[in-house]
Amino acid sequence: MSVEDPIILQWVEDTIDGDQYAFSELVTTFQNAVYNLAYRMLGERTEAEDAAQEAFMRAYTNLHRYDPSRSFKTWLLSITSNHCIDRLRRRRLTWLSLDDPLPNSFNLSSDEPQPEEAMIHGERSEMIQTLLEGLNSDYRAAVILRYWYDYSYAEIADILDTSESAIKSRLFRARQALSEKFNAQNTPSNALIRPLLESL
Amino acid sequence: MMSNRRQKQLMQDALDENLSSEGRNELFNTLDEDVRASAEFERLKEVDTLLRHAPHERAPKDMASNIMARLGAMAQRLNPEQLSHISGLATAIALSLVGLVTIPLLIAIVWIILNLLSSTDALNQLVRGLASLIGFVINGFGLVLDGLRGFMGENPELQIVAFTAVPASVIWAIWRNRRNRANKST
Repeated sequence: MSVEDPIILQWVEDTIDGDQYAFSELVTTFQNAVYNLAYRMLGERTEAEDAAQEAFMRAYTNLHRYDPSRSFKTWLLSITSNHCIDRLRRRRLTWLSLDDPLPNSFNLSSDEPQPEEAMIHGERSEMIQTLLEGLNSDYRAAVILRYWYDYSYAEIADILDTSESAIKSRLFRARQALSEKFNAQNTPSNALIRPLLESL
Repeated sequence: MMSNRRQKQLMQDALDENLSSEGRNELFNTLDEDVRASAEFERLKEVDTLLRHAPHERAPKDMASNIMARLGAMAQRLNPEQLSHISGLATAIALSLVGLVTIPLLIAIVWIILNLLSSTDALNQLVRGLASLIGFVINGFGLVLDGLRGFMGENPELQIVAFTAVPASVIWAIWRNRRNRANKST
């Protein structure tokens, strides 16, 4: 969505003027982007939905602070990522050490019959999620915004309110950490990942 | 031999598809010479490929309606708060205005009283003034009673009317009161 998209700007203006229907249009347009970011950050669907809802509520109450010269999506994702980072810090999770073996979620076997494509999609999504959970919240946000949203370093820096060089450094370290975690495994489950990679 | 930092920089640029042809040649030369660096780059590429093809998760179907419901609930919650905020503000402003008016008035009264207490002539004048005011009010009541007595003397039928009207209105008031109570209980 371009910064100048007049429809989005109109919906924003109408919402500020008290039109809730206009805000429902914004929600419908951006709900997948917001939810995906929340899910990739938090790794749990119920919490991701709650965080996505909260992000929209915060956007609604702070809509008068939105600068129309910025992309609305970028502004919204900035609210979402900051909220998710706060949640992760509050959660005080015991992060998976990069040396720990990958959990059983890498195991592709399932008793439930599923269409092959859906199964591959689900398993790949879960595998990536497990990898992401090994990263701290700042690194994770940078990786998600880079790979899922295709944002440039400058845009990610803008969203996460930091410098471009900090993002570059975070991404490089995150990639290294992910590759070490991914390849350090010599478990049988890892052997099942290879065909997935080859299918890409 | 290329520095480790430079090597990593080139790998990062390669993953970002931001590598010049010179940089690409430089990196490939290094990877040909350094087996460890080559293995590391392969690992980075594998994860990069995995992330590039990462699926997007779709929002649950009812998420948008849940958000709008939360928004509606929030709006309802906000209204009484806003109202109480506004009424609180109005009360504060009203109290401030009352204070602004009252305080100088109180100061003036206290100043007058203090002046009166410090001057016996002024105190005498005040007591005299109060006594004459009370006398004036009593005389006024006396005049009204005299006038009423004279009017009744000139119109004796009014005495009879007053004599019957007063108990009749008392009886009517008691009866009406009882009827109202009976209506309420049913």
